[in-house]
Amino acid sequence: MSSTSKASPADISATKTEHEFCAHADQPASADGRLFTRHNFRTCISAVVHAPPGETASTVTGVGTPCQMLTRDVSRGGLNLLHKQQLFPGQKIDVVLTDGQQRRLEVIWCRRLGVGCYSAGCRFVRAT
Amino acid sequence: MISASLQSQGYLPVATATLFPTTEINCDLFVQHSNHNLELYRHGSYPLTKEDLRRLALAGVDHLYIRGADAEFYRTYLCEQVLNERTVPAPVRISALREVTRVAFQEALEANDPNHAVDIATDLGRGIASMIADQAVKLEEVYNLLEHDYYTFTHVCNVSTYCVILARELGLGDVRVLAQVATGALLHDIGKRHVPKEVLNKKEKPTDAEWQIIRNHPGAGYQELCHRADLIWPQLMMVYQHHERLDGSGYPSRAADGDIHHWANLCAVVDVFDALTCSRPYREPVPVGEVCKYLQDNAGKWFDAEMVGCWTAQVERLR
Repeated sequence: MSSTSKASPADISATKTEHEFCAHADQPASADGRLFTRHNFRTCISAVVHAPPGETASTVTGVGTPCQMLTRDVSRGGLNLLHKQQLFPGQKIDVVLTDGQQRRLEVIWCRRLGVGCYSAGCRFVRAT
Repeated sequence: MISASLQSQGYLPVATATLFPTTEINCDLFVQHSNHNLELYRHGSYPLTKEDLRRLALAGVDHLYIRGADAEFYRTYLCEQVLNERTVPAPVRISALREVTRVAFQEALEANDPNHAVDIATDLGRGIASMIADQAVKLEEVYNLLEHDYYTFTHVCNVSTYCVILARELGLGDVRVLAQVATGALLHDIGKRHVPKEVLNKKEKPTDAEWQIIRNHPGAGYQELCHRADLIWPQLMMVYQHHERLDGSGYPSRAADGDIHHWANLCAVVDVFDALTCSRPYREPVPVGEVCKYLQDNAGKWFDAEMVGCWTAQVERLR
């Protein structure tokens, strides 16, 4: 993991739309080859987790129920967040950011950090 | 032991159990001598006799070889003479089913066509499950008919067969569910086709970058299959979580204990068993007893203890 830098309000508010992320894809990449530089962004956000792709029998708990998640860092491309349950690639999460903006995330990867604590790398996607 | 080098030279192994006296299979059969050379054993137009098969059995020869170019003749023979013949023992029919499916499955994978691979796996899984369930096939009946060379198709077929046997021994009796288990197991490594062969067959320890590629295969497989309406969540978890370990030391998510689906736990036990008991280009197979000890040593830590206990009890009967 590369070191993260402090986010300025301008950086965070720059997370506008998927179109804008794509439009800025030619921005300088971070040192570890990531498309966008990550910034510390530690806060608690409201979220609704959708069912993972392929899961239709509602056997995964917590799906569809509003919950709180902790964020770790943010970039123009997405968010890294902490959740008490395992998340799966492709799973969608609707979040409300601290400024009230609603965003949809798609899980790219998920790692267990400890008992009841998973870290997930998510990208912003357009809500359909 | 089936020779990997002969397979790389274009010869395919055929289990002698699938060969019957007085039946023409229309392709030449070769036998491998102790010096590893192949010799023509029987011309295609001359059927084997009972005496031939008896001598082969006495000599401990459980596989002959055919030319790769003759594979279609052999498959036709299997379809017409073995697969649908109810008097043929189930382990032999399972072996025949694998042979019939092998090329189509490999071609689907090589053509980067996971949808077609799922269709084939569904049919094959249904066949394996019904044959094992119908005749209550035991591991010791089927083990010697399986190939142990760790080619992709061989490995997933073995894991599928083992999963069904283990699931049945654990009390899963519904043949439809067993078919789903079998299909999930056939697909568990589908993401591996994105891993270069030189990385998979590397003798040395993989580099960090290579490890990263290897560790991505469960997620890649899951993402390819998760939108298929005909696959159920437990099957997808066999694909995504078969390298997870109970203590959280596995990959891709380091999920632990209750976060790992029990079908994935099932797949993990037999996946490791087959991986170690198969020969690789760079090592001999690990003896079955040592593999059992390895599983038992890690039961409850990496692998579900009940599943390991049940599986090793089956394996003990092989010895």
